[in-house]
Amino acid sequence: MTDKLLKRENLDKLIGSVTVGGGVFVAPGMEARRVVFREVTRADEMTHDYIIPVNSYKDWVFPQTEVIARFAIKKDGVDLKGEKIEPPETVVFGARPCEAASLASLRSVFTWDFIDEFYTRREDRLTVLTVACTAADDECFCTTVELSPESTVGSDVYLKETADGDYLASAITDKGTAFMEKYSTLFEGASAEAKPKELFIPEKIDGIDLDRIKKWLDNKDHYDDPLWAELSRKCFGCGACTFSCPTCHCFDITDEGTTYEGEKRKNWDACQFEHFTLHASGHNPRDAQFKRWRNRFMCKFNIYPKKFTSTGCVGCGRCIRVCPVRHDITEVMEAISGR
Amino acid sequence: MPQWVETSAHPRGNLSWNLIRAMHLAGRCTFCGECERSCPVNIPLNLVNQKLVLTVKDAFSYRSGYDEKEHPTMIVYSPEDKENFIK
Amino acid sequence: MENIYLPHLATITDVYEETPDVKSFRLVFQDEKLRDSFEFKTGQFALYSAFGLGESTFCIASSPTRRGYVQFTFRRVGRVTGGLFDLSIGDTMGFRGPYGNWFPLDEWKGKNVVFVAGGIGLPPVRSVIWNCLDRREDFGDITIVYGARRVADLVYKNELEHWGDRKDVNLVQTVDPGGQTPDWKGKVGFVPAVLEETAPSAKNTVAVVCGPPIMIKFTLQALEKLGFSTDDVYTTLENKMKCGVGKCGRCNVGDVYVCKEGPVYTATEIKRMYNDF
Repeated sequence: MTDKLLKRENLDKLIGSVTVGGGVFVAPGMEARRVVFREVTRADEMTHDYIIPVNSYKDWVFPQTEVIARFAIKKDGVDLKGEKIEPPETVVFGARPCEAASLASLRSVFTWDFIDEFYTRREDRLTVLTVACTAADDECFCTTVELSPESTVGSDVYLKETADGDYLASAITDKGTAFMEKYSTLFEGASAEAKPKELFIPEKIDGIDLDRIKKWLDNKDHYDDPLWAELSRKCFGCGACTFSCPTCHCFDITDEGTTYEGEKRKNWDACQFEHFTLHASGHNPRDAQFKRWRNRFMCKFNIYPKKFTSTGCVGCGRCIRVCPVRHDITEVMEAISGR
Repeated sequence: MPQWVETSAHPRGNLSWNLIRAMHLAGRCTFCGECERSCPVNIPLNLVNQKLVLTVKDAFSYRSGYDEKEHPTMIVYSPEDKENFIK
Repeated sequence: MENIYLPHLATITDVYEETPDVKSFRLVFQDEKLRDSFEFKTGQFALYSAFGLGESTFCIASSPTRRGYVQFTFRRVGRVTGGLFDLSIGDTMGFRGPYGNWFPLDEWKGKNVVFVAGGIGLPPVRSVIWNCLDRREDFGDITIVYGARRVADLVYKNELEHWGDRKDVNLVQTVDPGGQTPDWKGKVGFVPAVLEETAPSAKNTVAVVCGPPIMIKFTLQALEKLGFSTDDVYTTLENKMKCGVGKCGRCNVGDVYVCKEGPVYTATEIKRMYNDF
C-alpha cells in the first residue's frame, strides 16, 4: 500500500469534513491536566504530545451507560420498546497500535453466539486511525504481550509521524482504504523526502513468559496459591483499572425510572467491585479483594486465550498508570513466570 | 421499590453519587486530598471538600480531625445548633 | 435492529404460594406466535423481569413437553424477587430466554433415573422429572428423593402427593431432624443420609442432583459410595447473572461461564472447575 501524506495543517479540514455530515471525530486532547480521548471539532483541541490517553476509546463502541429498552407500566399491561440506535460515523484519530488490537477482543465477546448490536453497530461505523508510537513510558508493555508499535492489527489506517509533524498514512483494511479515498484531497501523494520518525519499540520485560503464565493458570491447584493474596494486598477495588482498560467489557443491566415508566440500561461494571458477584442470598463467591483481582488476571491471561483468538491484554499500561496504589500487573506476571 | 439512587453514569446518576458522597463527608472530611490524588480523571474533588469543611465550620464551629475526643458534629444533636437554614 | 437484551412480555396466569416466601408463577406469552412456537430444553434458564426493578435468573421449572406456557418458582430474597412476589394474576412480566445448555435426556434412554433435591433445589429438577414422566417408556426406574428443612419448606406439595401416588415412581420425602410435624408420614433425616438409606442401584442409572451447596456436596459423596460414576451424576449450578448470554463477565466459575457452558454439568465437570464458588 503506497504511503500517502496527511499534513498536520490539514487536520482541521479532515475534522470538518468528518463532522459536517454529523460524524464524530475523537482525538486525544488536554482536559483537566490529563490527555484524554474526546470529541473534537477543531484541530487546536487536539494534542499531539502524549504517550497514550488516560481513557480508552471503547467509550465510543461501548458507552458507559446506554438505554437498551424503554417501558411504561399501565393498568392493563406494560408497553415495552427495544431501543434502536443509529450511531454516527465515528473516527478515532491518534489511537496507539496496542489499543487498536483491543477492538478484536471486544468484538469476540460481544459476538460470542449472541450478537450484541449495540456494540456491532457502533464498531461497524468506527474508523481507527492509529498513530504509531515514537516514545514510550515505563508502564508500556505491549511487546511483552506480543504486540508492538509496528503492529497494524485493528487499525484501519496506520499513521507514522514525520519530523515536520505530518503523518505518513497507509490503509490497512477495506474501511481504511475507503476512508482515505473519501478524503483523498487531504491524503496527498507522499514525496520521497517524507521520512517517518523512528518508532520506539519498548523492551520486552525480561522475566515474563506468557506461555508459562498460561500453563501455571491452567493448573487449578494454583488458584488457591497464597501468591494471589500477597501480590494484590494493596488493591482496594476502586475499579479504575477496569474502566480505563481497552479490553475490559463487564457490564450491569439495571432498570431505572418511576413507578409508571422507566428504562432498562446497560452500564459499565467491574469485577473488582464487591457487589459484582454478590448473590441475593448473601453468598459471594468472590468475597475477598484478592479473589476479585485473581479473576481479572485469569480473565485476561487464561480465559480469553482459551475462548477467543484475540488477546485479553494489549499491554497499554493504563491500569498501572491509573491505579491509586500503583498495583502493577506486570509484577504479577513476573512473579507467576518465575514460579 | 424502584432504584431511588441511580447507578448509571449519566449526569443525574453522577450528581446523585457525588451528592451522597458529600453528605457522608460533611463533618468527617479532614481534607487529606487522597480522593483527588486517586481520581483517574482529575476531578477537583478538593474544591467540594473545601466547601464542606468551610460550611461545617461556619454552621457548627467544628473542624474535623483536630480533637480526637470530640464527636463528629453530624452525628451529634445539640439544642444550640443553628436552625436558620430551615425555612 | 435485533436486541438480544429485550425481554418478551408475558402475562401471569397462575400464582401458587408454595411456602410463605416461595411462589410459583405460570406465564403465557403475550405474543400469540411466540406462545405456539416457544421451545426450550429441560435444564435451560431464563431471565425474568419485574419491570422497574430489574431481572433475575431462574430455571424454567415446567417441562418442555407441556407447550403454551412456562412456569418458574422463586424465593423472595431481594429487590427483584420482592417485586415479583407482589405481582398477581393478570400482571405483565418480562421473560428472556431460553439460555444455557440442557440435560441430555436422549442419552439417558433405557436408563434408570434418580432425582435428589433439597429445598428450593426442586424447581430445576421438576422440569426434568415431568419431562421424564411425559416420556415414561424411555426410562427405567424413577426414584425421587426430596427433602427440606421443615415440612412447611417443601415446595410443590400437591405434585409430591401425585408422584407419591404413582406406581411408576418411587418417591421418598424427608425433612431435617426437628423439622417434622406430628402428622408427618415421610422420613426424618438429611437428604444425603436418606439417599444412602434408599440405596438406588447405580447400575445403568443416572442421577440428577440440585439443592443447597452443602447438600450437593454430601449427596455427591453418598452417590459415590453407592457406586455412581461422576460421569453419570448431573447437577445444575446457579450464579449471579445479568446478561445471560456470555458478555457481562459475571457468572464465570474460573474459566467456565455458567450461562453459556452451563448451567447443567456432570459431577466430573464440577470437580474439574476452579475453586471460584
